Amino acid sequence: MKTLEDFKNLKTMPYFAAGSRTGSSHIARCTGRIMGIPVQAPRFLFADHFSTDDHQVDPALMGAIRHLGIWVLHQHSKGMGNNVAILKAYGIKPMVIVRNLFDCLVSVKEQMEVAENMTTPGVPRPEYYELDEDGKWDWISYNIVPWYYQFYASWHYAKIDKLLIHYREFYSDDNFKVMSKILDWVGFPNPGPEEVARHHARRDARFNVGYSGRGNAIPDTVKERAYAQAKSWGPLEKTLKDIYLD
Amino acid sequence: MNIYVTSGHRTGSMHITFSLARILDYQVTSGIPCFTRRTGADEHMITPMAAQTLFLLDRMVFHTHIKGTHGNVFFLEKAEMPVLITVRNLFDVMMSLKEKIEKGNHINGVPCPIPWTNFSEDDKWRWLALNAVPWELQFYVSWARCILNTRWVLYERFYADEVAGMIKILNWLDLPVDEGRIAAILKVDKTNFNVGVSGRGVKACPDFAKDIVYSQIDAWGSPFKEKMLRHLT
Repeated sequence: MKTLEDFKNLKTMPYFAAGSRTGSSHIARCTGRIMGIPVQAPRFLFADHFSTDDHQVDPALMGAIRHLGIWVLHQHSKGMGNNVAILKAYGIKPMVIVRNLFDCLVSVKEQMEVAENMTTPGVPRPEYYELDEDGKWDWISYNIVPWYYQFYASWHYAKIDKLLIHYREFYSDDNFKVMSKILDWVGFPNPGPEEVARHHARRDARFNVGYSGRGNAIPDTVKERAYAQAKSWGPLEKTLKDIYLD
Repeated sequence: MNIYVTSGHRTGSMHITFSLARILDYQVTSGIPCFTRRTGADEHMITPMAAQTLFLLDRMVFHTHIKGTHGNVFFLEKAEMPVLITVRNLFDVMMSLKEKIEKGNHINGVPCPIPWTNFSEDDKWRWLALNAVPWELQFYVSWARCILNTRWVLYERFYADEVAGMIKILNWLDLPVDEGRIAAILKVDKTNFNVGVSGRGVKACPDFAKDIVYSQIDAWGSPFKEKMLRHLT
């Protein structure tokens, strides 16, 4: 049982700003279980599960949640002016989760195949089932890839302290190291490798959490376009490639 | 009654909004004080708290760049509000966005690369085609899928004859029409300097950037691509 003593050195409420399909639910839940606090994805308080809405930091919600206690907050929010201003106002230092882009795209595609209303936040669906396989990839390439690049660019440019967490590091043998970084960032006592491993082993988020490399199978045209799209960001191209395309 | 104007970027919507409000003796909120901060580059959306204004206020013209996504449509449907959607030729939108970014302004929902001034002209057009145009197309599709009481306003048609365009809007709203008053208000109520100018982007946008835009439209498949080609190019 956690006591107030455990939270006396808290540096920030844990806030995960995650790219879609980056294993972020599991990371947020691990953090919540270790800290003994609930996880809240704020969109669920005002949008339905299949919402196509963009995720935003709601000032009213942030104020209310703060008075209700300490939560792990988890959104697919970009680091734009308003979001950043509100996080700063509440002294929250975000943790930004990213993953290999091609693995994300495979996961996005699977999500769109099985869930009729599901998309990446803010992106409406085409008549998806009417598109052929190449058409589906073209649509994903032109609509979802920009979302990921813009997500990262927004946090890269945002003038706020943030911790970057990469899927490949969290879901690796270095998991304890990454989890330690998260707990240190938040200012919560580290329970040690065994306890962290116990929570990490409990997979109650989604079935494919932890798999890397499936994106190798996506069409070359989509990959080539993703490189060209990264190039369009000029000075940010190298960083985008390091994060998303390596 | 309230009216909601949601617009693609750079679609002359401020002029339409303010003129409509003045004609009707309504108040305008550009939505920014209600929904996001003026300094924000955030995506516009109706939050639950801000949604209360839709129900509490009367004789308002609301104006934002919201997409027709689930939450936004949910609140507008509850408020039983007529929704005007403004769109414009994509190449003219790109031209206008380019000028906007050059002045140091943001695009709602789309972070702009820094430093923009170091980009060559071709790089600017390429970035706009690959990063800003998807938002405009997603905006279009989100509303094309929507079942609310909506009316589309195409920039080119509206600004070809503003009085006739405004009369059509008022007829759709089932509100009285005073042509003389409409003409007088539309004449003086200009907001941005280039309101009403069409074709600049079509001329200036390089062919390679146009090809990227057409490929993106094509990727949306039927029935959206046909509508986009008709309304946005």
